[in-house]
Amino acid sequence: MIYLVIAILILLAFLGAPLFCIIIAAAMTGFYMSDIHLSVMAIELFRIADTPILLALPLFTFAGYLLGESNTSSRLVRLTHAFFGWMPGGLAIVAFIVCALFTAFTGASGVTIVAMGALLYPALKQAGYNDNFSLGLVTTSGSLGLLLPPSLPLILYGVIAQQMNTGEQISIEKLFIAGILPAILMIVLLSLYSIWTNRKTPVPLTAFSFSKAWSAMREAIWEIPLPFFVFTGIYTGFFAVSEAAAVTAMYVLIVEVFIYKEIKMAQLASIIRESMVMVGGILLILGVSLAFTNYLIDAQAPMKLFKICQYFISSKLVFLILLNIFLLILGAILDIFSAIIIMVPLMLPVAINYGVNPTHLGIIFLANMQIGYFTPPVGMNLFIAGYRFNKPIMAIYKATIPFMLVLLAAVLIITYWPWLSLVLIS
Amino acid sequence: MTDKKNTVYLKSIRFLEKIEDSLLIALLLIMISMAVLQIILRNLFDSGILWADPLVRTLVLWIGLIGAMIASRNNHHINIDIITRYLPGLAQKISTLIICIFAAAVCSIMTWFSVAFVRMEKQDGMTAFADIPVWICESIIPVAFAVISVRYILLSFSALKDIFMQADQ
Amino acid sequence: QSSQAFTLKIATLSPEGSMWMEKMREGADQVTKQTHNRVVFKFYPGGVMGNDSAVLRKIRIGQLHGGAVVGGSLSQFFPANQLYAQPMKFKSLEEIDYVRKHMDSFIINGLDNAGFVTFGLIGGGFAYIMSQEPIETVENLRSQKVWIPDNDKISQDSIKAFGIAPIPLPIADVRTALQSGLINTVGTSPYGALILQWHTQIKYVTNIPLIYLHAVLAIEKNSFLKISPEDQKIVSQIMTRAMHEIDTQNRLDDIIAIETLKKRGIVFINPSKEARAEWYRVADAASEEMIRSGVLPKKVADRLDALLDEFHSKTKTVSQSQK
Ligand code: NA
Ligand code: NA
Repeated sequence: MIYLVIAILILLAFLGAPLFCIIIAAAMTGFYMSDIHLSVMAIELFRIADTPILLALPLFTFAGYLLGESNTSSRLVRLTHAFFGWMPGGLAIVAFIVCALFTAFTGASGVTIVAMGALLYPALKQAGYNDNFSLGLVTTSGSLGLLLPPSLPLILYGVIAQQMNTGEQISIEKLFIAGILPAILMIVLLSLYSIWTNRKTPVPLTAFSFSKAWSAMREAIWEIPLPFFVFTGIYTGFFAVSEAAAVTAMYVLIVEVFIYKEIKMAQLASIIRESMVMVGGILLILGVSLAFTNYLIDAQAPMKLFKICQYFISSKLVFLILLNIFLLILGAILDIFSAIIIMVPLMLPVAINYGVNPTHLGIIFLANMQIGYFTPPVGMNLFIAGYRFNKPIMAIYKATIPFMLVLLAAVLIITYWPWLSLVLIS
Repeated sequence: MTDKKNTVYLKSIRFLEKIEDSLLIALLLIMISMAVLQIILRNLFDSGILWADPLVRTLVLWIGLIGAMIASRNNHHINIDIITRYLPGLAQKISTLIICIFAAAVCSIMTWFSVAFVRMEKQDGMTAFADIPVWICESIIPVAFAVISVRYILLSFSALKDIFMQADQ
Repeated sequence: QSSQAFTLKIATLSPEGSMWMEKMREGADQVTKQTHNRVVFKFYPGGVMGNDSAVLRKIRIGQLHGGAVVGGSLSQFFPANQLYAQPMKFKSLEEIDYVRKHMDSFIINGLDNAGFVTFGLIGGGFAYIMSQEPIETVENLRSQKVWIPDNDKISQDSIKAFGIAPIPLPIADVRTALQSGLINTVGTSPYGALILQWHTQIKYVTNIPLIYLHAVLAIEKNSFLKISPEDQKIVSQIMTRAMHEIDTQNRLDDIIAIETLKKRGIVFINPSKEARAEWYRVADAASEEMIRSGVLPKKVADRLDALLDEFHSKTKTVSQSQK
């Protein structure tokens, strides 16, 4: 019976049924079979209003749409061309770094794809990168940066692990430092890949010219301060992430509507409407996913799966291989916070038993989860990118797989070469 | 006569859509203003509105669900859609019909149970912030799913019409 | 067989592997054994079922049967359980020990009438004001950026008396907010500060106990009554013992935590006599406000004050007779 329901739901999903309905149906079936009153669905959905980090989603999305609708992307292209035009892969590398920093404080909830993507996707195409590459880059960057401070998942891992009395000192500061080299490794590998894959149709290099740089800067004079005050504002503590999002939205609104005047008042209403419909589509999925995650937790499914995996462990190497596979799957179906809370207490003692450093385990854990966000077929960021850029999901799969393979290589290096994570803290 | 009925029907739908759109826009502008006001109060006047943060977080839920309502007007939701594009015309229309009926059914059940949830919360009589009861904040959940169900029922009818029109040809 | 196997699903914010969870699991194993599998516990630790208000909603619909929650979360059902949360009411753990001996049963009965079976109160020690800048006087506090838990109406009300505009944030964001400087003052127990790793972000502790924290393991009464009376007795006995062990261990852990904070170079500030008097004056006003707004029945508050007087006169006689 249950298999029939699953088969029907999969078929309906492939026929193009709204994903939120599939997830609701799956969660409700589960709850119904466990004899739990189905109003639990609404309780879980209401948790959206209990999750402060989500405030960044509508605000940054709105700002991203405003920037996308005005001529900011061409100004951005001219600016990076003037400053980094001499460097192969200039804009792509800038995009990776900016997205990573942005994700570090917004989390991987899809904000990066929706907000930064609105700006970067057209910019990359204008700069001469092909559609597929640009799409893949933006989708991948949606979870890049989970290893950089002040990423919340990293903090949560630290709090959970340190409470467990494993005998080893685990501090959040150490985790922050341990994440830096692995994060840099990911960005470097992705950058090298970008240069290599665009070798046949290279974006022509230009020498640095002072006058060009000057005029590009003057053009974008109102937009250049934006990333600086957002990043420094947050990293120095002048504002909280949600406050930075509000200030950004307000600032961009004033600059694009009243200073550059590239967005007419009449247009503003439709931009708000469009951007918030996008937010609605994503929030609804996030909300019902919370309910589905809750069903899995209620049924203690992740724990049972881990027990099965544990049965096959015979050595440190096998443990690490299974860990990679297990976490990739988990990253694709479970939200990252629940995954940490449930799995870390189960995994940590086993990991320590096989001689894995707990700080290293934290980095492995998050590096894997990061890829889980865009692992076909069900990584959440794939759907968000398809929705945002109005592309069929197959096109997103195709565009993202090479990037995923590059990051998979990075994750393997991070997993099997502890030095990279631990050298700065020892 | 049916034409007249039709225009009244279309007009009232347009009117309701206008309300949705305006509400969505107003809520976002309120959200941005509240958040910016809070920063100004905090940094310049060493004060703040205690209920501003819970209000703004509730607005996130409301904006999300109203956005989702609007997205349902033309079934513009995240989907996987791997098979449909390879199906022949009639089969594609039938699959659209099946999907819309499925979505309508799922959302109707959601409506039913979120009404039950909100009624329970109303009985408990808790306040969320600034003396506003929690159930008012939550009431958007059943409303949104009711609207989405109705939209998918309407989409089912138009999918059915499409199938008959194709069969007639 | 007359009675069926019954699974009690319990949620808590304490993570797996913590002393709390270990004691509760120990108790649960004993219950399973002694009831011959008729009563089984299933735990959802680490807040995976959501915060306390989500947990209480899930208890309402029957997905969960109970939760280990902080006292404040149950005050919607029985406001007077905030009796010990009157600011700066107690000056030492001895005082609270004496009062608790007489008044815990009042809270337990109240919660029982409100529909929750509990197994004794679990003390969480005193919360102190912890800050990045030294705070000796009430005036000092007013110029700080003070955190309070969001959605905690009682602490929001009582903090009004101190004349500050607090910054409400969820617990998860506090550490980052301290690090970034969004807030610079928190109120928590020394043990809590260590567990949440807030101690790396603070430099000073104002050495006046702020409020006494407590938590309970609460099981929804109707679910509990579905268990046979003999098994109810077994569960009560074992869980009361487990909670008592947690209570005792918490007291020790908190003392160790204070030493750890001192060892790490965190300065404990002892306010001058005048400053102290001012703190107590303002704090009394906050207690008055709790009574005036109806959170706390006057009769109960008076009883607590009488117990404190009783304790002081007793200890005085003891110390005098020792001389
Ligand atoms: Na993101
Ligand atoms: Na995920």
